[in-house]
Amino acid sequence: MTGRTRWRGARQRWRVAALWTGLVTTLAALAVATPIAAQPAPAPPPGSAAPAAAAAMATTAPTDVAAWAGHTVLEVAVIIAGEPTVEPRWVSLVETPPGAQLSLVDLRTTLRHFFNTGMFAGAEAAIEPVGTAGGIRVTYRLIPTHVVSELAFRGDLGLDGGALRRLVVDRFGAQPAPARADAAAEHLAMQLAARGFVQARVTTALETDPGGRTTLRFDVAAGRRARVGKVSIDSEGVPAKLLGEIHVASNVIYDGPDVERQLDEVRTRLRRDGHYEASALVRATPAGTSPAGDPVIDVVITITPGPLVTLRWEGDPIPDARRPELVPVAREASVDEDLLEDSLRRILQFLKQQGHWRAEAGYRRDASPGGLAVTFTVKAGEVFRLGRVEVDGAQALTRADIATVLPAVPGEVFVESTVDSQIVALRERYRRAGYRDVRIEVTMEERDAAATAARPGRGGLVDVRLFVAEGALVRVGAVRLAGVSGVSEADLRAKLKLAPGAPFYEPLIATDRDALSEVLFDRGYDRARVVSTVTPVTGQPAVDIAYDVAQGTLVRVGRILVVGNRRTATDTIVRALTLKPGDPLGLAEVFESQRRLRALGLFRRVTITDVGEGGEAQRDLVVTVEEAAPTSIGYGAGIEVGRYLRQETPGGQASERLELAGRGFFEVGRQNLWGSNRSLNLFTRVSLRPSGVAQAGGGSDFGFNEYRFLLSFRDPSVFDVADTRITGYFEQAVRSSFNFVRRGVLAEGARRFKDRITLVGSYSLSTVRLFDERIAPEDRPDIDRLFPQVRISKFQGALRRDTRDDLLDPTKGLVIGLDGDLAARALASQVGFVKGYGEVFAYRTVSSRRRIILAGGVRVGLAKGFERDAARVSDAGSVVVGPDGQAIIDVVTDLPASERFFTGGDTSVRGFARDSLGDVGTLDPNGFPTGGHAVTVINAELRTPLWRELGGVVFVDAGNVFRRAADLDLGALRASAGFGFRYKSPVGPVRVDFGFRLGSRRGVPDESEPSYAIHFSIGQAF
Amino acid sequence: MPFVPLLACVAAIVAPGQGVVADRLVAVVSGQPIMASDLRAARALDLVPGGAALDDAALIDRLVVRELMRVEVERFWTTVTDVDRGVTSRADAAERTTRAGGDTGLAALGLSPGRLLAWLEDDVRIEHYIRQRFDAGSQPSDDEALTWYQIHERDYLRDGRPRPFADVRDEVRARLAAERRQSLVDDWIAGLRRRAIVVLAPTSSPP
Repeated sequence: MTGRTRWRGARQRWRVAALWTGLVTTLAALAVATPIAAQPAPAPPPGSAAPAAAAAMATTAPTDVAAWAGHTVLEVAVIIAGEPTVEPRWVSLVETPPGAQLSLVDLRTTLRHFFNTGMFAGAEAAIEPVGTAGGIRVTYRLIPTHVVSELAFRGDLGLDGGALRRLVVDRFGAQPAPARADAAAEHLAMQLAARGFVQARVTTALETDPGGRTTLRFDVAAGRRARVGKVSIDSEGVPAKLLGEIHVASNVIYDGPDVERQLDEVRTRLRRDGHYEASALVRATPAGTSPAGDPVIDVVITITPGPLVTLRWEGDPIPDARRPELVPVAREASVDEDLLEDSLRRILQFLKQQGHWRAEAGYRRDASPGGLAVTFTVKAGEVFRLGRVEVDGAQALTRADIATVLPAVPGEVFVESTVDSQIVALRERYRRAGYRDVRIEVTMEERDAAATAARPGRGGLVDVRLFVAEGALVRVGAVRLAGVSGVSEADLRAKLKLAPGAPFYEPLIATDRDALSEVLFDRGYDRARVVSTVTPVTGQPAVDIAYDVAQGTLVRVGRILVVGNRRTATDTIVRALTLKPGDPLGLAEVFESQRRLRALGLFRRVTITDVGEGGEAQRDLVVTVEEAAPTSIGYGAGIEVGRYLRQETPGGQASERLELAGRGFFEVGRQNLWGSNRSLNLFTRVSLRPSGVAQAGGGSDFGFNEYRFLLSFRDPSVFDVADTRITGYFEQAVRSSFNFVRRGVLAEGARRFKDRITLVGSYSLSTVRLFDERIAPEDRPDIDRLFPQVRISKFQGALRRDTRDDLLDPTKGLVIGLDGDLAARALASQVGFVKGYGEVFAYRTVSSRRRIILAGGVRVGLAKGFERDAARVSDAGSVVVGPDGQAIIDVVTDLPASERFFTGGDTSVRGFARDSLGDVGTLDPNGFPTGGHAVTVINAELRTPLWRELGGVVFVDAGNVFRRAADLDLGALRASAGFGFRYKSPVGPVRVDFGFRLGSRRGVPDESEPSYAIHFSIGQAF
Repeated sequence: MPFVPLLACVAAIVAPGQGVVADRLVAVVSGQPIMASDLRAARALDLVPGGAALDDAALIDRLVVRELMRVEVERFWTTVTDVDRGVTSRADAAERTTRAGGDTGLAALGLSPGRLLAWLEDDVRIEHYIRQRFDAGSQPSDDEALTWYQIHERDYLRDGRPRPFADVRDEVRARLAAERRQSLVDDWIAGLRRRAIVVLAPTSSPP
């Protein structure tokens, strides 16, 4: 029976026993008023009082402790640092509950639980008898681990405290483990000695204040500082001016590191002057004490400049810039033979990379008194190019197959090492296809060598010929799995790449072995091992593969110990784990749990480790977290640059204008409210920009015309089902055809499913007021006249699958999104409509080598307003009456402006200004868009790196907005093409795009329409 | 957890006495604990050769060294097959379990059968590792054996006269190899000690 099942079985008994114990003890305490704390250590109980098992053991038990086994536990106490505690997090770790028979194994397990938390440096369990019926009390006494939060230095420090602190921190960190205190003291004493405090003594002590902060105190007795005694400098051949850099003299204070620094300077300067093998050493020897009582240290300095090395080059030139890298004598401070041989090899490699197939090089050393000349002789020879490439004997692979690994292009510069590596790749290709014994021989012959020699400087050609002996195609015969139990063999076999009948490729055996091990690790067999054996099948070109599995013991999760959480509730952490007590301790689940905890955003660091003893079937899972600060503040400012549709004069034509806007934001958030990962955030943003309305005098109306306040409350696990957010907002924004003020609330819940699918449902209630409308009055949709301020109450749903590898700059993956909105007067909305929006984006790397990415996207939006009767309103806002004096009633089906579709701009069709697209039905006579009930946008883009962090794109975009859904016409799309640049910054790609329009606006005079647009932004366009 | 308030009552009113320390943390070796029950088991079941005769400090030191070696061997996943480990360790575990008085006797030492088996398996792995790593390097040549024999001639007397080297060659070689091996192992353990953090757990009670 495991500790856990026993616990469950004993829980009821514990409750009853604790109840009686509490009552009896309370009464006893009241009656006697004397605690039983001072009892002497009890003798072992008589055998007769112990249960039968313990009595039997009394004869065989090796110690007295054993005699307590089997006694009934009546009381349990947990004492931390001398203080009794009833904190559930500690009490719940006890495996010897009241009512249970004492097991020393459980006692040990309990102590290990406490130790495994990492919170205790000492732990012991004591037993004493209580009552008269052989009952016992078990007391767990725990000594907390000290975490050093401060370093303090006291006494005769010798140096200043800051210097001492640095010496300790550099070696042991700012929070040394208490166990390293002695080592830290020893280190500090040595460092002081090196600085002349040769009698320094350092001891340490740990001090814990009432607040629980622990200080590691260094008690320093530095003693008197040594002075320099005799100084001897052996420096034959060293320039006198360099010796002036050494300031070591008799009777000055001795400082070892400072002397080293001076010598280092001398070494550096000697090497810079060509003495690459210069050395400078110091020897310090204690020499008694001075008459003043100071210790004395004699100093002997030996400086050996070594030969003055001169590098010379003869023969064909090597670029100056490459020489230090090819012959790194200065960097390595050496001219030994090994380094010169390596240099020679690098020179030849460099020349051969340039096509000098027959390059030769050598070097010689010419020593002279005090000097050494190293001369490299280079004979580059002709530049060779690739001639013919012929492959004989290849049958299993087609010419095209071979060309993928051997892309030899006649006329290219011939580099032998490149051809060699391609042949290695070809051999590997054959082996992958099952041709295990393939042999490839190669000849490289200079074509018409005599002619090349006769025309020096014209270059030569090299013909390459490959002879392929493919050998037999070897297939996998039988695959045997042995030693597996408790794990489905089918699950294991599904992971194998070498299945029966497949071409045999030996390296895949290791892959398959690892895959099998991984499955077993994930199932809790953490010591599983797989051994593979390959046996040739007699008489056939096939091999049998056997995997012998030693599964080991299935390890399950014992206790889950959460440590390090102060504000976060343990339940919140445990809920995020995919493992629970009793589950197989699978590696994948540990990683997934770790990922989920990190995703909570509450912790700076999360580690999950399993701890336990060998041979035990259960291990404690220790979840250690370091909490992040609960309050976050963010702020920033920037400039927004964009091309917008604007009116130059009141009532005038729309024209595009490049506009700059200053923008700033501030946000403050409080995370982990009530310890349950709920959060509250306030986000504010303002933009200093023109209002978009033409000024009568042509002046500027810069102001805070755009702003947004957003307050949101998030609970990531409502009913353990959804990530929920409630947001209240208030904003004003400038659009191309109008400005608006919107305020509202939004409640949304999101749930993530497998395969990166997210489902979002939300409800929003908002009011939107339009102002500064630039649309010609006669073209304004009736709905805008009817409701200059409109209340919208709607439900929304969205389904999204996102498999992109990077949200900001994807190289592969797919995004599929479907959104639907429903607003109705029955929901307290003033207008009713249904709206759908679908989008698909795909990303694919078309050339891994050149990192070229093809990205494409299609977006389609359709909307329909519900019919409603409305009195006609004049441009002045008054109700229009008919001849009968009654208001004229129109049937209105438009969507309000804030819900209509607009498009064009930096993320849609880049040859156009933001929201400026439209056709006859969705543009007013001045060219301002009114928005529509249908939209479509199609994009294609090729992204490629250019230089370092700079990349480039070419793109084609098309799209348009249509008045009604039924008007959607792919033939009426406006298109643009262009190019752009991307700079990979730490916050994502910084982007500039130049879009050029293809064709003119259909049905609308296009004289005023510019032919291009420029966009600046951060992030890819889609 | 309803028993918690009652437990608080007990804890607050009845301050516990010292009692008999049934088990405690004795030392921590590279994060791995050594418990007082390990000492008891080592003595009772002879898990550390000669452990019964050692005092607490010496036995703790032996267990610390064993743990240092175990942690190191663990890093390398030595190639002892499960068959090797099974045959030697299981028989040994069965014998020791009997000596302890069966599973109940083991439990009285704070040891489960699984834990005992794992202990013995670890010992086999450590021994195997030491053999693999140090045996080959500690074999002397004939010249070395002869030199060593000449220095220790007095250890090989018969009737007061040194025995011929040819008669004792194998014995000399084995002794020299064992000495060298021990020296290499000692150096290895010294290195392990330098690299590891060994902490004796604080307590006021003897183990």
